[in-house]
Amino acid sequence: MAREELTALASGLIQCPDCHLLTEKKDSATKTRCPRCNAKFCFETSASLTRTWALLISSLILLFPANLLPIMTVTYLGDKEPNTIMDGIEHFIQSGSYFIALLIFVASILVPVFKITGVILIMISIRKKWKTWLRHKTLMFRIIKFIGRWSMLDIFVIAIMVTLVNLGTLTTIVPAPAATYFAGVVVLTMAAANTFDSRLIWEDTE
Amino acid sequence: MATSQSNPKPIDPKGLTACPECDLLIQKTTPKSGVKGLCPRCKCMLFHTKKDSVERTLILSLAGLILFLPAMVLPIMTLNAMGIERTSNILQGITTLFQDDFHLVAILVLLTTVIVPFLKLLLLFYVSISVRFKVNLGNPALAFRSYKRLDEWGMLEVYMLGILVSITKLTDLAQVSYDIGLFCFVFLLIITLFSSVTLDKQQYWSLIGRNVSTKNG
Repeated sequence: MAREELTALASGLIQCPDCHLLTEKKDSATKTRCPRCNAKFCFETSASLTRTWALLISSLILLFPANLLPIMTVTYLGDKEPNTIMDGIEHFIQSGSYFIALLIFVASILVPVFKITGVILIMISIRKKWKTWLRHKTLMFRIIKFIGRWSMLDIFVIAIMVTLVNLGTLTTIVPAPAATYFAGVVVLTMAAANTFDSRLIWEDTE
Repeated sequence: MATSQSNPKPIDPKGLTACPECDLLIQKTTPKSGVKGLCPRCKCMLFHTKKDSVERTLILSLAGLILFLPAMVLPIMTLNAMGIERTSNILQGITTLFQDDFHLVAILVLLTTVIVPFLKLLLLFYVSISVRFKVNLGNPALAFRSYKRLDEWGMLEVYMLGILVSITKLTDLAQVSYDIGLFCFVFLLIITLFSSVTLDKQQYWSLIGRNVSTKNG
């Protein structure tokens, strides 16, 4: 237990991000590769943080058209009705499907907003060197990584609906511009969580 | 305590491991099968040993590969409204998105529901074969690394939820019935989930590492 608060990096060791093999850190650590799985070692604080910021800001920009523009257009007996994500949720509430409404609300609105604000909070706390709530921040990041993919729900629902609801003059559903923006939000937030190295939360805390 | 700024003398990494989430150094143990280990500092899961991991994962990935084609091309459900019938499977959803000029969305759906899930099963099958029978063909380390990177981009379970939501949405509009493709898809989903449950990543890495060192030495 004597080593309890000692990190690999502080001991001159480096852990492979992919296969978790522990090896001695070479001086030119940025160029070395893992002897077991050949993954590139990069414990470059600034590069990881810059990439994450760039992806976060892009996803934040896309979040607005994704929610404000229609995500699909429903044509019923010749009447064209554009639907935003929020309209879709309202339809479910009106038809009494509260559980589905909640599900779509969580997956399409709450999760992307929670992910973006969560990672921004962690990034700010690293920049300001706030060394509190470390375990909570790690837990939050773990949750963010886990829930990210579930935002794709709305995109998949649209992919299924556009094929099935294609009933000629009676009713058709076609995708609308927000579908692309929303897909962009999901991909960029997932990429942001991937480029962020959670070891940065714990760096220099001993 | 030491800081990362100074250039410390490296200690021997033998018998030690580090937490992948907070970089804490921890004494390595040799656990029995079915045991979980958590990092004492950040509570991240360090290892979770599984019984007969390689054999089970090998069989499951093979079963998944066999089920893959039927799950993709057989009709999943049929919509019947005023005599008009529409059937749908995963590939049709993607081609319709293409026809509606939503190319990026179509490519994303294609990647997350077809290409990545298939590659995951294929890579897992290949790596399991090479560690089980100690064949040094190709590059199992690269394959397993790719599997790890691709893992979260395979979204069959999210698509399943999408099917359920669509059914609820459409039952108001018309009559919806399920087809054989749905059962294939559900089985494929269960097999894929089980294959990631039986997979003991650390055991795979140490087996791959053994192969690499015999190749080089």
